[in-house]
Amino acid sequence: MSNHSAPNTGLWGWITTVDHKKIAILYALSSLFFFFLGGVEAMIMRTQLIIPNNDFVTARTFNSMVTMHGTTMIFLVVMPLSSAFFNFLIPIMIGARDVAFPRLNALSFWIFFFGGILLNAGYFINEVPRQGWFGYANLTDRQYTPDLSVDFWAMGLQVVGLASLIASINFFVTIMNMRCKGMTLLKMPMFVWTSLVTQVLLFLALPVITVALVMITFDRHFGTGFFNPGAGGSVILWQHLFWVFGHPEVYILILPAMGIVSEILPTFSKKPLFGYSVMVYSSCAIGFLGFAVWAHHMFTTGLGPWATTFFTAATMLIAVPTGVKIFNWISTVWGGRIHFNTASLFGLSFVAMFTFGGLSGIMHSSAPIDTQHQDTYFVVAHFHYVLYGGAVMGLFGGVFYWFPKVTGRFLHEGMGKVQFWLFMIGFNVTFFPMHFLGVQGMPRRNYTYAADQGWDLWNLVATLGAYTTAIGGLLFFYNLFYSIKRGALAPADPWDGRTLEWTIPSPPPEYNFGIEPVVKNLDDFWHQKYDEQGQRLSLPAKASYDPHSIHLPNPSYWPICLAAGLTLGAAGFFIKGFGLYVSLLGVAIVLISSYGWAYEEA
Amino acid sequence: MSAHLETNTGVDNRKFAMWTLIGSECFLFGTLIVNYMINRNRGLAGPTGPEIFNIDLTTLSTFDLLMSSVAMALAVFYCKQKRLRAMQISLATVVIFGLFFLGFQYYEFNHFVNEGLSLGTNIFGSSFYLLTGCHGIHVAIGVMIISTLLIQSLIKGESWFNDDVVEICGLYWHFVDVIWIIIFTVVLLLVLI
Amino acid sequence: MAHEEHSAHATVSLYWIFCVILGIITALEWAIFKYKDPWGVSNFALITSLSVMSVVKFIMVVGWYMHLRYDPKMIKFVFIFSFLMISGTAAGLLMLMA
Repeated sequence: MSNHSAPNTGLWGWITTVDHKKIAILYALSSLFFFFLGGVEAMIMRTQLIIPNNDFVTARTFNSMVTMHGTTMIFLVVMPLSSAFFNFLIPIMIGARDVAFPRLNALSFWIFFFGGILLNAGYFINEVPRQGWFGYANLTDRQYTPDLSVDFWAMGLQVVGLASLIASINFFVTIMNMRCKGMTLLKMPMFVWTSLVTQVLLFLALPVITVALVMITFDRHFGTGFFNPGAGGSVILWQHLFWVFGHPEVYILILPAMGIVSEILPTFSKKPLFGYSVMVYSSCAIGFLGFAVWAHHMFTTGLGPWATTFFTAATMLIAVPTGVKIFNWISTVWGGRIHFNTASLFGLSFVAMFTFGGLSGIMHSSAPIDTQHQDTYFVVAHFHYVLYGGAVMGLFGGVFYWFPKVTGRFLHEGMGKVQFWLFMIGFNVTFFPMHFLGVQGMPRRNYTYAADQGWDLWNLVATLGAYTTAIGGLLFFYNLFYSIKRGALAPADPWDGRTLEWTIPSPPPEYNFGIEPVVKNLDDFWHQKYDEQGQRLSLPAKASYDPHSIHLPNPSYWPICLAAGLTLGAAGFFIKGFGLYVSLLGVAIVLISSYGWAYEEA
Repeated sequence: MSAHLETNTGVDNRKFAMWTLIGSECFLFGTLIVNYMINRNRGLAGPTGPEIFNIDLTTLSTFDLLMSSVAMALAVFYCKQKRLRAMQISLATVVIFGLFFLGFQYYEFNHFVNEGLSLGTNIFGSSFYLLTGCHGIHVAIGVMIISTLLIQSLIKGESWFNDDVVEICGLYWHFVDVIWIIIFTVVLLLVLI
Repeated sequence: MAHEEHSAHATVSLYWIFCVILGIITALEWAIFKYKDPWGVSNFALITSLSVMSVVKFIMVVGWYMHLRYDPKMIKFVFIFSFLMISGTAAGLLMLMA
């Protein structure tokens, strides 16, 4: 059993790693790279809109920026950054040594990585997707987009979606099956709970977009007309399929951040999470109701009175569990000894910003108001408050909170706080005026606008806000490079934490736990450290163990081969001329890797 | 039982993952079936369902898949009973039925194309091919997996009773059959409505 | 796995009985559809009977051949929840699009 090899840290070690902590770092680094890319795209858009009738970029480039900013930020930043947290935290928080399927985990990462490259490959041949991140039919039709840009988008998303699907099944099984002794479902940390709901949403919602994307590909290359009214198809069907996936997707983006905040706030206010079980039920309710609200994105397509009523009511209903969560977070920090550092500031700002976005969301649930707001900057303001003020701020809080655990060093606090305020001010200066622009009727996605419509001032302000955020972003990257080398060394439990990851050294050893933990309570580590009156207890001495007796899965190069084959197979679909051969090569690689994988000793 | 870690639910990780995948596939096929139901009458040109379906052949396909399911269930059972020959015969039966099914499907597609319904002729045809084609790919993958199991067991003989793996592949195979049960009914019913 | 040892024979017989039932149902589905006009089966009766037979086949394969009946409740939950969610979504889509 004992084949504990020396940790392989070179490039080959990273390529073949199946260690969930290393894969988490790979996820985080790639998503930060894409974050930079998506940020640049946003800056180009805002620069174009800084004054009326600007010609900084062409309309075509602007459309590409709109499309790629949205697609990148959702599929290549927020999802994989959440996935980085899933990877690092889920096994440790539930007291496991790894995920249920370590090699599948590596496969998910590599598929995601290659898929992200495929999605962006249009940049190399100047055919960048420009049909919008929602790809509404029939803009995606060959008639309206004859070049390959839509194919890069559709196939790239297809591949990235497959990565998420595999990862979601992996994490779902991990949480269900691999919890340590004593950790019943209702003793899991809140982050694990929201992750669990996220995985369910992922593996249920992703197949829908898979089918829809296949239909686009067929429409473009095999002569079908699913979304072409001229052939008897329907453009509305695309919208339905897209949003049947797309609305659960919104909760896929926000739930992990909710979980992160639910970990940060109790730690820094020295109080347990208020209403833990209610939080759990709210998460489940959000996940369930998330499937019943998709058509609120489509009120203006004319759903008929009954459907409109139903989706209005369902959307208002989903605000209830969300509101419950907000009140729980407020009650968590209420009366606590709040310690303000970068992580808790990001966590607190999440609650505030997400509430803003939630409130404008409730406004949209009402069909008559939604009809007025449809396709204006009001909607842009709304979902940036939810996804940026919410998800991204929460994720950054998580980065500052768990960075010491991942690397053994703190991120620089001073720079972190400056970044936080740059983000917070920049964000609000950018997006709050967009509410005004929206109700003044400025349509979203337009590459420019005429002067003297009352939009000039707020657009200027929004762009200046965006630049402020960009400075904050650059500061963060500098902080990252600085702290990884020169940050202050972190102890095992730097924040006086509550969950299992703080019981092990920073950075954790490859096997996570020398002796598999046994849990008695929710927030078990806290209860080990403090008695009921809050008096500090002395921790028992750590039992010794032999790290060489711990069996770890072997590294494997088959995941990256399989992922490369899959991506080649997908890319071949639309390469002109020799595409079929590329696809066949991809399929061959997939087959060989699958068999190699199956017969390899794990 | 093969050696695997104790799990919270008492189910092997791989089996749990297969059931989760099946849950996901419910959505995949559900979407395809809905798409077919929506588009069944939307042909602007060429033949549509009632004119072209051959119920005899579809019934035969259904029967064929159901019988393969029976064989698969028996294979899982014999594997647990450590009865090598019986398991191998059952697995071979599954593969043969699976290949028959693919043959029927090839014949049917060929027939439809000859009747003037190709992939791009009309939306009905596109949806039909997308649905049954996706199912066909699943059957083909299943045949490949089960033949691999069979070859494994033929090579390794008595030392190979990987009952978890056989059971999990069996789950996949049964699910593909279940999907066909639904497709069969939907196709039949929609000819009527 | 209480039923494993003492009823190996019973399991095999059950599988074969199910096999026969599945065959009969399929034949019945075919016949009732093929001869609906000479037998004078109304559309309503036809749709109802076909749906019921399909549900019976579904339950037999999922419950027994796939062993779901004997599986832990978490697995039952995963499958049944997924199935109900897609059924609801499908019904919604059909109502909105058809």
